[in-house]
Amino acid sequence: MLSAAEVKRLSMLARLEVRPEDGDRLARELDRILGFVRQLEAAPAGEIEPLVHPLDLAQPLRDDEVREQVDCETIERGAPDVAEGYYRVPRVIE
Amino acid sequence: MKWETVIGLEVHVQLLTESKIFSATPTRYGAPPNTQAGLIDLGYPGVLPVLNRRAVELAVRLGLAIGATVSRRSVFARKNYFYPDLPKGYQISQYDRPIVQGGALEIPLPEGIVKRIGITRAHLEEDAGKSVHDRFPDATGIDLNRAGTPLLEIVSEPDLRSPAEAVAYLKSLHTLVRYLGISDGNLQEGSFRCDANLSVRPEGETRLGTRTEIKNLNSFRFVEQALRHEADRQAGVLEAGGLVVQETRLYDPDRRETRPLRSKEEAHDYRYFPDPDLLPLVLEESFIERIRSALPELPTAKRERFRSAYGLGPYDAAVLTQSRELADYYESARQAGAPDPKLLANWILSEVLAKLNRDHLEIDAAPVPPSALAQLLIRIADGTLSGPLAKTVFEALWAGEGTVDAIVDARGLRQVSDTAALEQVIEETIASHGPQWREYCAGRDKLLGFFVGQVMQATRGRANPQTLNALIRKRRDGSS
Repeated sequence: MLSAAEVKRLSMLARLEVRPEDGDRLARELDRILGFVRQLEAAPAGEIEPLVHPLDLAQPLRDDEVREQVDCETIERGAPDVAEGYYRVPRVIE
Repeated sequence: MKWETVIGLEVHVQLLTESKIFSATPTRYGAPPNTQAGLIDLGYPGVLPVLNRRAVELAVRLGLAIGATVSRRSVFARKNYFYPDLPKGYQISQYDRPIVQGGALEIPLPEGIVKRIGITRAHLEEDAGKSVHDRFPDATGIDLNRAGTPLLEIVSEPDLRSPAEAVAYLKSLHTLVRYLGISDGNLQEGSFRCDANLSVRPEGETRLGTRTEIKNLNSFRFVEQALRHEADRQAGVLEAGGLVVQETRLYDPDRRETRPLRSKEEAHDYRYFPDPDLLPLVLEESFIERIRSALPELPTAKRERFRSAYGLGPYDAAVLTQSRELADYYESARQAGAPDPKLLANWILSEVLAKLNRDHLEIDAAPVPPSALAQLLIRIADGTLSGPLAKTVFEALWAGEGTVDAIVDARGLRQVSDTAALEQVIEETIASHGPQWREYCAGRDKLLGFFVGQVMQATRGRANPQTLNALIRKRRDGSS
């Protein structure tokens, strides 16, 4: 089963808060998901080219042209805190 | 113990496109915050990225120029991490199937040595936005204009053996991307950014030591400083019996030191996987060939041609071919009839570059066009102007006073090579400086310079120096 430390690391990477009392249950559920996916390991995939997309198509390309007008006002309305055109977020300094 | 430094570089080059790599919003630098971030750049639900053909062409151009394998099929992947200036929570990049694989860059080292530096790969990706920490006292400002700007990340092999080699590599790459027209290479605006991986090992050791990654190297000068400090720091740690910790360090140019950036607990795990929104990028042979046939002459080839065709030394050839524009200036002046290839090189390297530097101008904006410089050198060759007079005329040309011949006539700068006229002035000078003349004739050769100076002054610098020297000597030998 996934260890408590692994669950904690996953929650950190996913930026999801896990309450301590939920840790065990979550570990069991994740284990079941991993077990389900692990069935794929039994498939004889040795020589097969990895499939990166289910459709057998190539990426279409577009011309290098500016075509989109940015509607700042509408977009800004979706942000909790805007000042001087910037989106304001809690202070992050590395 | 003697330590060997091992360096590999990752350079992010901003590609010269009008629009973003996956959206049709502009990439222009310096717009008001968030006015160029559209719905795709912001990762709105339901939008789909569509790849910019131009970005692909520019990446292929680099691949061909460094002799790399251009992948006929490459794949875009999501690199997952959370940061406020990354709206989607992932960056679209390329992982195990990049567009460019392998290749090499030749870098010039001192004493004419050329070293081949392997390129591991170059991949296309989108840039993130910008976090602004000094705008608000207790908040970070986010400007997403840069989000989605096309980047080509060029990763070198750990083939560099000193900070100086790292700088030589960066300069060569910088020259190359501008030659190819794939980037403006503007360091201040972040169009050319560098991270370095550095480790040290005892000299003679073949295994690599533990490396650190150094970020924030945004000028060639900082790169050398930062890498030198980091190499010394690692050697110090090892000599004291310690171990180098694999980590990311940030260079602080004010304190001239590197310091750890991210703590170990936060070590990134990007969980790359193929981006389901994008199909594999498939390149037809004809697409690649069309780009190959349009490649310009590359810096190394041009440098070699300047050496062999014009007989220039390695230094002159290297400086003149640093940019396509400067090399074109030189060749235009040659075509306009500048007679002596070496003299032309000297004039450009000293006078023209010094004035450009003084006036903060690029070569394209030089007030003296190549044809005018050629005309000036023609007037030196035909004896109309001496070197010093030519410099006066050059000043006037730079100031926009007209053509070479017009300036020469208007200012009466024509060199006096006429023997009779010069002899006349020499006689007058001797007459007014009798004691010095007698000393000179008695063997004080140093006084030759004095008499040359006097005559130059009397002729306002117009006397032909060679003729003048010869005439004064002749006069002395005749009178003794």
